[in-house]
Amino acid sequence: MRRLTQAVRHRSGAVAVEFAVSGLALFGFVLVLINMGLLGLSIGALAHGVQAAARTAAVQAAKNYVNSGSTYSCPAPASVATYFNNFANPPLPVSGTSATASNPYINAVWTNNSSNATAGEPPGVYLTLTGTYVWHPIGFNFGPGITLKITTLATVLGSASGGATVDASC
Amino acid sequence: MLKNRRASVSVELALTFLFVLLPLLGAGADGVLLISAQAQLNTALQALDYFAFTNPTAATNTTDTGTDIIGQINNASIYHIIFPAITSSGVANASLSYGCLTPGQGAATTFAYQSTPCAANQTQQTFVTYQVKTTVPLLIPLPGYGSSFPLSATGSVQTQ
Repeated sequence: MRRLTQAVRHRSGAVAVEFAVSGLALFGFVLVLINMGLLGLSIGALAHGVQAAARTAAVQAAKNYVNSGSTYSCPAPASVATYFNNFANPPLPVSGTSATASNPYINAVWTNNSSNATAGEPPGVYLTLTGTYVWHPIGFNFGPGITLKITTLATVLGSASGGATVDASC
Repeated sequence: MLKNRRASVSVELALTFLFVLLPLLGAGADGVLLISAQAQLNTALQALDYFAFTNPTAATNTTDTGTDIIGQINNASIYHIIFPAITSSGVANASLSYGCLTPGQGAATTFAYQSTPCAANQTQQTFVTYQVKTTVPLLIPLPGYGSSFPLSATGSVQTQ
């Protein structure tokens, strides 16, 4: 009888260990599922935010020309980051223009090729906008994170022709 | 008996990690690469479409412009995007197509779509079709694809 009780006790210990092992795998599986969903949400928000912010900035530059009647002026990078926040915050945190301190980091670079003189570049005034977001999965906050990066290019309507001037902000 | 059970638990642990957790983590890592690469491709395609929509005259010189735009995006992108000369469907990339409506045929008449410009007396719609591609190097090779996975994005936009 005593031997039987000991055997059962040993068996129940083994079951507990097996449950812990399989439970660890199951927990990891659920955690990966949740994180993949959050990752998809973050990538989608980043891509949408970058596209929409670039278009907003390009349209704003054209609007500035209409308002002034003669000059294209382009929104500053901080304004582009605000456009991004309007479209992607939430679910993403508030973005900024500091490469070291901002997450997401918005890098907005205007190029004036309205004379179409530079080979290898599209004609007109255009914005190259890159959004970089270091994403940390839930439960794995200790690592360096996963860097997500989306780049787009938006041209300003009508800036390639006519007698308009383009100011230094572009 | 206790020693035997300990050994079997170790084997179960090893098997669980080998056949469940490791493939799961590998597939997750590949999934991150593929999802972000596809998002970058879609964004690049949308940049091309917006350019064609807002610059219809420049968009007639589509191949050079497409190459220029993708080149600028590639300067900052993680993934190298390709703007192939010929698309997967066998037509020239950035090719134009046209919808033609003959006047005097009534409201029920639909546009006839063709690859050549419409006749002078017809009302014309102009479309441009772009395709961008990339190849994603995978961390864990996938069955049937090996260590790289091809992705593409195709879209048309009406410019006139």
